[in-house]
Amino acid sequence: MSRWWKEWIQPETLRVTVPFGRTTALSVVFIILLIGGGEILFRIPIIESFLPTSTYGNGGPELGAKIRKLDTYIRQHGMVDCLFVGSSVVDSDIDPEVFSREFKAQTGKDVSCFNFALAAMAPSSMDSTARFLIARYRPRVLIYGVGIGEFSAKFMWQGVDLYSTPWTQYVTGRFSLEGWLIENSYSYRYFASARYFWDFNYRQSLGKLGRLTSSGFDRATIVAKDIGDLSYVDTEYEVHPLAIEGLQRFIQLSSRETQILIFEEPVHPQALTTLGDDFYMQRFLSVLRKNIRGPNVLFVETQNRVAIPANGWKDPSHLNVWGAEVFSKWLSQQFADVILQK
Amino acid sequence: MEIISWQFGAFMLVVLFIYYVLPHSKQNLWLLLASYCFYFTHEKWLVVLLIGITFITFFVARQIVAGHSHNLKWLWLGLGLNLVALITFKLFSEDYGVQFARFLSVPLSTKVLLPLGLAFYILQAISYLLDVYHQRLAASTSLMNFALYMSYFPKLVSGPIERARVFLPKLNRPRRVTNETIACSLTLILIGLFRKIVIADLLPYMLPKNVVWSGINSPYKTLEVILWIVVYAFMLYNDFAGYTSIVRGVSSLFGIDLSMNFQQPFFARSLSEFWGCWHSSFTQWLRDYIYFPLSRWLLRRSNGSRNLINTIVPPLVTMVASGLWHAFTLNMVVWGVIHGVYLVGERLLEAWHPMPPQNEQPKLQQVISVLVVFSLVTFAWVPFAINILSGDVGALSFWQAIVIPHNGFTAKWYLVVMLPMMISLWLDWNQFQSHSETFFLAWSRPRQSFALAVAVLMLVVIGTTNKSSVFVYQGF
Repeated sequence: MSRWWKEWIQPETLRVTVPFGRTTALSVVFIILLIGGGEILFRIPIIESFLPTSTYGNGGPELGAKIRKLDTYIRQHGMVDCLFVGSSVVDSDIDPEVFSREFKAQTGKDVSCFNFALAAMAPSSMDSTARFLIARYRPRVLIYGVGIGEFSAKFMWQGVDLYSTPWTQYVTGRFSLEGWLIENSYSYRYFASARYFWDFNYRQSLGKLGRLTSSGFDRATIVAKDIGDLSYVDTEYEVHPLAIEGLQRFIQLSSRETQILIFEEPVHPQALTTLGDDFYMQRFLSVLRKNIRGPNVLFVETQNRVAIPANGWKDPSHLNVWGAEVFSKWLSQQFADVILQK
Repeated sequence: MEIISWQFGAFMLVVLFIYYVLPHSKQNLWLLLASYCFYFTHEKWLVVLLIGITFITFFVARQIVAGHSHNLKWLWLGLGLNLVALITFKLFSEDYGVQFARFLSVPLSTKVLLPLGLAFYILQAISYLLDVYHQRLAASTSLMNFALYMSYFPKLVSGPIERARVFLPKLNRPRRVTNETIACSLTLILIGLFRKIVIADLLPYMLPKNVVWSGINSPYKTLEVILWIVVYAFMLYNDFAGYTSIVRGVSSLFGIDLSMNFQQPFFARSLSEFWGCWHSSFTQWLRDYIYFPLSRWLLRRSNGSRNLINTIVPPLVTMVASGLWHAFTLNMVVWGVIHGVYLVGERLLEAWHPMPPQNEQPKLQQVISVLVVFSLVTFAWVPFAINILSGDVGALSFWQAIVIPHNGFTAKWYLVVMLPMMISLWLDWNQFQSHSETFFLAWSRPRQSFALAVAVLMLVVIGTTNKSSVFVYQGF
């Protein structure tokens, strides 16, 4: 037995002498210093302003851009009273500054508003995003824009859960290590975002975010030349059940602390002519009317009720800066009697 | 298991631990078992093909030296069997393979997958047989050592293509792994990982996905398409050089050195020098087993006098063979022809207007030569890239995207792509200046440690999201 042992166990190849691994040990020290240094530097506002927007773990820059702008907005205004939420349509349809100005003109009261709409936000995930906004920012009003395209099956499958990340879940009470790290460690947040920065599409998205105003409004200056068909809407269109379920979960967030208001996103009339007014009413609007119910929940219909100028459209469903000015002012007049009345 | 994977890391730890504990006389057996196990995780029962090729080659070599009068016939048998295996798999792994099989009345419903490393270990088998036949090498008497030469797992996937006369003696010698060996090995592995993960895998993400595939109606500018080709050149280089660096580092931990495959090819001042620096183990194989024999045969036919045929045919045939070794496709033949024409042109130019040796030329001339060679080589990657990325790519639309001018260039989107390419050039420049791949080891300890820290952080940040793609040359 001992001979077998001696025959098979003869360590003669490895000839390592001590000390060994000093370079590796020193590099660990440097790693800690680099992470620690990042932790300090990235918290300095002037340095952070030069950094690309962090993604907060969802691989897209818009969430990080809106959070950064909202945090800056709150630092300047002290608080935020109302948050506009929804998809890219709300992004470009609502100018919070115009809304606030008109609200003050109507009521004499100040209201601080921010546009926290996010591209490709689907109704099925709106409630989880709203939950995180309520937990983090405690707005008194959430104003949600709903549109025919977003409630279709086609849109649902491409826009689901982009914004449900470990971080948003952490902020709403579901602990995860990554969520905790993104929330508390600037080094982790920016190092994690560095992975995405190399992607061409991500960098192009960053470029588009340069249009955002300090109140989160996507200031689009394109004027549509030809009004084509609505995206995600065809003759087979039906409101997707998951979209309705998401809408109802969102409505249930209404409370004494947070008021829920919903408005219909306007659609260019010409885009509806091929489908017909009845199509829009039967397939979409009547479904919304049936499902938007609840205490303290107000639904404002807009189609054919607000005169968007001819040059106010970016495309059949999105307004540009000129259309947004008219629409934001009108919407403020509709909500003037109900916002901040408690 | 992929070489860049946690599974391979765990595999290495186990193999190394047992390897270090075993006596030298048992280490080769252990490495052989580990190599077959590694191959089995990739190819399952195709390990039988590897073992079969090994046995046949070993047996044939023994017959060649057995003093029989038919030893040339044994050589042809060995070469023939190896080439048939290679050509068969190459043919039936292409898109046209199924139609070709039908033409031959072979029942084949889908194209076959090329066995991992086939093209590499077949070349090793062929070189072994030819070296034994020409008495450059004694036929191995140890089947185990020969099997290890054929299947040694660090080089099994994509080379380097080792010569038996260099590699087999290493298996017979006792191995020592010291502090310096480990430092060198880990540095090579780190450089390889950095080239692959931080440079090669990242570069394609930095450009729009369909820059070159849009054809005649491309919204992209000609300069954007040209930039993509340059990026492709850097991506391919760092992918393959990264692989080679990793496997050389891995092998070094066993005390077995593998050949260098890359020596800063982008600094080559001539096409000949480029091929001496790019995939040099394969270039040397081509030179020794195709180019030189063909040149000698042509010279004998022309009674020793140099003529145009002697100048044109050897490099052209060699490079076409190189193209076909990569894949049996028209794109690869075109790639080979382009490089063959380059080499012929260089030879004719040299004959017409002899130049002083490159090291004696003025620096400016050398720099211009480097840029010219880089441009020519990069242009030649186009058919190579079409072949690799063929999927839904149309070759014609590729050329249209380049040739039909679309003016204008939005530079700001592409500035960031310069960063990995600059890092690649910086690595190459330091290796070139110091004549050492592991030039970091000559730095002071604090500088080494800082560089290691930065490299590790970059690997973690970038590697944890981008799933590392398979090495390009794994597909050959």
